[in-house]
Amino acid sequence: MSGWIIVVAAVVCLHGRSVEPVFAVAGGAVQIAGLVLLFRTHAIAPGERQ
Amino acid sequence: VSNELFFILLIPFAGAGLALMNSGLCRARNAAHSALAALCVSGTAALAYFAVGFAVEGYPGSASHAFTLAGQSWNWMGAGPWFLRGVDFTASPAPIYVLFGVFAAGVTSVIPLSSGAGRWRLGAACASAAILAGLTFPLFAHWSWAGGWLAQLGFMDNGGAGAIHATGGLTALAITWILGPRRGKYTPEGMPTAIPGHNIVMVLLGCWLAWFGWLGLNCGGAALFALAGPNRLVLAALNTTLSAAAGALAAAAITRVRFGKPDASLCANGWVAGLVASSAGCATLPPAAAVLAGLVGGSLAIYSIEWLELHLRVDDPGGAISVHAVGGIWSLIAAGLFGANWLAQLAGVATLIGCVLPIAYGLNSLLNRFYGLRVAKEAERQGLDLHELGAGAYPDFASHTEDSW
Repeated sequence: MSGWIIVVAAVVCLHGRSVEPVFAVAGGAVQIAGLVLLFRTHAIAPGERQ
Repeated sequence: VSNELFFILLIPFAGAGLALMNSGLCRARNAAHSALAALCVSGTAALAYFAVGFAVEGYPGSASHAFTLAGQSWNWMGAGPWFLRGVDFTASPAPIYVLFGVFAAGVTSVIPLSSGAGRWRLGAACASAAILAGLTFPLFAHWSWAGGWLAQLGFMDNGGAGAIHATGGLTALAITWILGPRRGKYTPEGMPTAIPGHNIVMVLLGCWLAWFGWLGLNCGGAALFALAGPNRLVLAALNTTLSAAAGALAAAAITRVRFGKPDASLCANGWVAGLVASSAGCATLPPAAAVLAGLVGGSLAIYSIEWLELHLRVDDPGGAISVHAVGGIWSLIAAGLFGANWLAQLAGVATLIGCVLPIAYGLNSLLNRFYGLRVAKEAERQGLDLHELGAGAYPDFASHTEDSW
């Protein structure tokens, strides 16, 4: 969610400024990192049968 | 209204197509349960949208709640009364938006069913559909379609790539995480085992039906939310078809090169991924861009299905996460690459991942705590048809003879 807040803050509060795309892309990168963590957390470990 | 109504009346075919695909891709012992679940969640979604959803979503120009940020007012939620009270069915534009919303909520609710196939209780699936159609879908639909803050930023989603497909696909991801994989899907060493669908003809027939439904979704959405005229509606229908064709052929080519023969179920997923890829910019993309969107969408779906199953150990029997979540997000990005405001599209994608997914995961986890989502171990072995419905889909045939899971 922090990545989402960074993206939204960038497009709303920095609208039209040169740093707007930089912050938006950085927010997207934070989201990707968060997704990777989520997938790793939910992946069942070998040997663990549900 | 006649143009819009014609297209909107095609939308239930999308739900029917997805229901056929879900049933064909699951095991024979779960086929009737899968088909009935699609019908039940569509009904639940219609009632939830009638009761709460339309009040949350609203329509362009309707009353809404707003907050002020950076000196500007941003709409974040519809402020209509519940149960369609106060909707004027004689002279206001609201009824056509209600009808579109009821059908779209139904399609959105059918999407996660394929991810929970073989282990998701019928009652729990209906309760989850009520959450999806009553809150998650209408909230994002308000933001993107009904003059909400994303629409104010310039976000483009003509046919529901975000509101319908990515929202349904991300809910499917949340459901898969909560349910866990089917028993026997992964060996103790963590290797996935193949559990093929039981009726590929049903799956491919579902593709044809889904095509009609998508024509309704994309053209209806473009007419209502992008105010597309007749020529633009022709473009939307053309783009929908070209993108689906490119998606299916990309899947056929990839599976032909990798496995030696085209894989029918992956081609079906490629077709639907192409349909999804066309959605966001269906009324504005040039046809060549729609073909490219479909090619990439179909290819992404194939690799995503494999990646989720092999490396991330996400058991998604029907491929809903890859087709609808990944395809929907790609569709929004493609619209940004080919003409829409890419920063607004990025904000929409970020909202789906950073807000819609947590809402879906949180509410379904809460539901799971009070009303378990997953069937018992024995029910899974017996099959959901017998366990939950008391009769199988194919009583004259032995649906499974082995004693394994």
